[in-house]
Amino acid sequence: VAPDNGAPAVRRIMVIVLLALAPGIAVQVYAFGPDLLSNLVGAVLGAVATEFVLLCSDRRAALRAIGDGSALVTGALIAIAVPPAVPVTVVVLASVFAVAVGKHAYGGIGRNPFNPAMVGYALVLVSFPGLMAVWPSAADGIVDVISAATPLDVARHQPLMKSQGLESLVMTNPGWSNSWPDLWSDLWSDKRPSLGQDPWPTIALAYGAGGLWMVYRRAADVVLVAGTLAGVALSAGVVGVFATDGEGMVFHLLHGAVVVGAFFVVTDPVTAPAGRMARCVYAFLIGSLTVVIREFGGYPDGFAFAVLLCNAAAPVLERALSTPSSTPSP
Amino acid sequence: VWPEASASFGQEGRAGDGPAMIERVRLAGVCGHGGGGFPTWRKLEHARINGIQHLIINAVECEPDLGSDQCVLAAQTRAVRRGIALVQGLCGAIHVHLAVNEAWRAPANGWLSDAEGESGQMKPGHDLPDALDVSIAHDISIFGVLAHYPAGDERMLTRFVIGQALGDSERPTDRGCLVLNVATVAALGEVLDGRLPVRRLVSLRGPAVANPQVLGVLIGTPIEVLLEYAGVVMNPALAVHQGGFMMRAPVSSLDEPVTGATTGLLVGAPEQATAIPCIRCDLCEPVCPERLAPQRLWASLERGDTEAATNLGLSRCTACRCCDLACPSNIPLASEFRAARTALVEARSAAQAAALAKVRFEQREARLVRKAAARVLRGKPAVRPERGAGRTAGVDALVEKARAKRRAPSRSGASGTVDARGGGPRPVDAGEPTPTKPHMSTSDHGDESG
Repeated sequence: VAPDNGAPAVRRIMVIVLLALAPGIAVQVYAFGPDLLSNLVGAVLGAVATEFVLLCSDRRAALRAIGDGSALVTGALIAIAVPPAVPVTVVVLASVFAVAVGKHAYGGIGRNPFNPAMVGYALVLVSFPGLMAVWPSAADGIVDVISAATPLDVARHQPLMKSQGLESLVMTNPGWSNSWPDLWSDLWSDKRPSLGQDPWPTIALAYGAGGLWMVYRRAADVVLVAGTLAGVALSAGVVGVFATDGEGMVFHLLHGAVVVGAFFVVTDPVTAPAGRMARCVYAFLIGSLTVVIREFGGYPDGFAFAVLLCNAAAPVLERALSTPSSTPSP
Repeated sequence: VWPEASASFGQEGRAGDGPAMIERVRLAGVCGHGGGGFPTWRKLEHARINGIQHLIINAVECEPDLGSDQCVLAAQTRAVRRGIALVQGLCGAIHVHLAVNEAWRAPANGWLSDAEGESGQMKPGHDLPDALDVSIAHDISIFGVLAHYPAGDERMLTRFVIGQALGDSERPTDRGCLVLNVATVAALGEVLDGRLPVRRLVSLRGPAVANPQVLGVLIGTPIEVLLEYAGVVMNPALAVHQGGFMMRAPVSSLDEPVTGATTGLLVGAPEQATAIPCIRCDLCEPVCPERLAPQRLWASLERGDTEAATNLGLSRCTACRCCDLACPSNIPLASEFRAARTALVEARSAAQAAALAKVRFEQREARLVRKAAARVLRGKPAVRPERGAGRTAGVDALVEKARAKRRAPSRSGASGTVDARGGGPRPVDAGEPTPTKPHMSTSDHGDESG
């Protein structure tokens, strides 16, 4: 323990978060190609530059704010949230909006009620729905880009098209898994390991591995992670019981933003309520809302909206659920 | 002027001797040697009047870099026992608890036994009643505390001894416990023996001290002299703090003297780093020994909501600085809480003083009105002209009441008087002496503006 040693530990936390993101980013680049890297650079530069411009009246404060690394994390989260084929200008727009409106409009770090990365992502999601729905096909592991809908897209639209007698239009994707990936056997096979038809579970597990390390280093609250995953699993289970055409629990856990979000978005302490009980409920609500939006809402992946909705509910949860003990027990 | 109470203290009835002994403690200037510096005589006075069941001697010294309390226990055991005798003389049969670091329990037991064996002075007939002597020999319970900071906090120790947590604004004395630092008790022992406690033990530690040590120092020694003696290389940028690593206060000038409350000097410790905004990470919550929610407390103070802060238990904060160390944003939470608490107490006492002043003012007003009414009834102006603006707001009513009373037994006589003065539809108004009228109008004006 080296207390009072100058640099605020906030920076240390942010560095751990960035390192924990690395394995997931690596797998995502492997699956979808190097476009993600340019998006990453664009988003991070956009976020940091915005922070600097907004605080440039006080240069020391600006450098201090950039030094805490939170803008870097915001930029990185936006870059991995959007499809890699999206033009870098859109990514920069998202991260500028995230830092300017999502964070500094409310008074800077610590005062923003909504997760800045999700604010930026939601902006481009509703502004460029066409761009945001298209992920490269990973069938070949290489991108010479054939764009394809994600498993979540198909899961969302298949029943609808079926009901309208448009089954011929439904893409058949037998490879999408409702099971754990066999990355392990792939790694040991002679051929270059491929992520198969459906790279999402592998990406999710890579983010999960980094996230577990981050939790181990105490840079994230394990309650928030576990609550989110439990919320997704339980709600997906309940939906699976009542709706026969619903997707399975493992499908919901391993596709879309659930794992990366549970570890890296929900754990944002600024926008989470204080107190253990409130945090449990908050995270569980995010998980359940995600499944509800996926199954019944208009978007294939509702994670960002679930987070933003629960951000808005966080103060209420905090007030209702976490009253500190009036007197300590002996 | 040294009240002569020593020889007979505790023998001829405590009621008579107690105040004299407390006066001696006051004149000797004994204050909280644990670092608080609170005048000990006031604690003793409170304990003597209200009675206590437990004397808790605090020698836990959970601060990581202090050692003076242990040294007091080792080197001044006899004085400690004499100090216990003084408190027992004041407060009667009480349970005496000595709280030490668990690692020091066996040695402490040994020292106390030694002191017992060697002290022929403590036999009956010296200056203590028999009962007290016996209770001293057999009644000290030494308990070891895991020196897990802040185990030596008086609220923690009281909770340990009585098994119940103190309420929000309760002091240990409210639960019949008097908590004194072991060095304070030793100082009291010297007072009982007729000496002035003029020295104390000071721990000297820190990155800039090559040879950490505990020094016996005359109270009043300039800190600079102490540092020179210990061979500290002086330079202007050297940060010197009083206290231990956790609870410390910067020394503004090296000319400052060692006081009774100087437990130690921390030389060369880094300054508090620049704070950045709270990110609401809640890392402070699990470390709070009082189970407060420092983050929410901080947020409520930041938005100026003292009521919310009070509800969150602001007054229970012991300023132990555990949350400071946990905070990744380097926010000086504990000192902010301490400052807010002080401000709150001051505001409360100011409000009380204002309420008292208001009551006094209103009583005075009522008294003046009664006086004025009496003057009117005697036929004089309600207010003496030279007194300036008077208070005649209620005079009319009082005058009328008094006249009605006076009229009641002989109605004809009263009406006759009114007729004689000229009659009219409103006899009482007309009956008032004319000179009051200008005064009344000025006073009305004054009341409005006031």
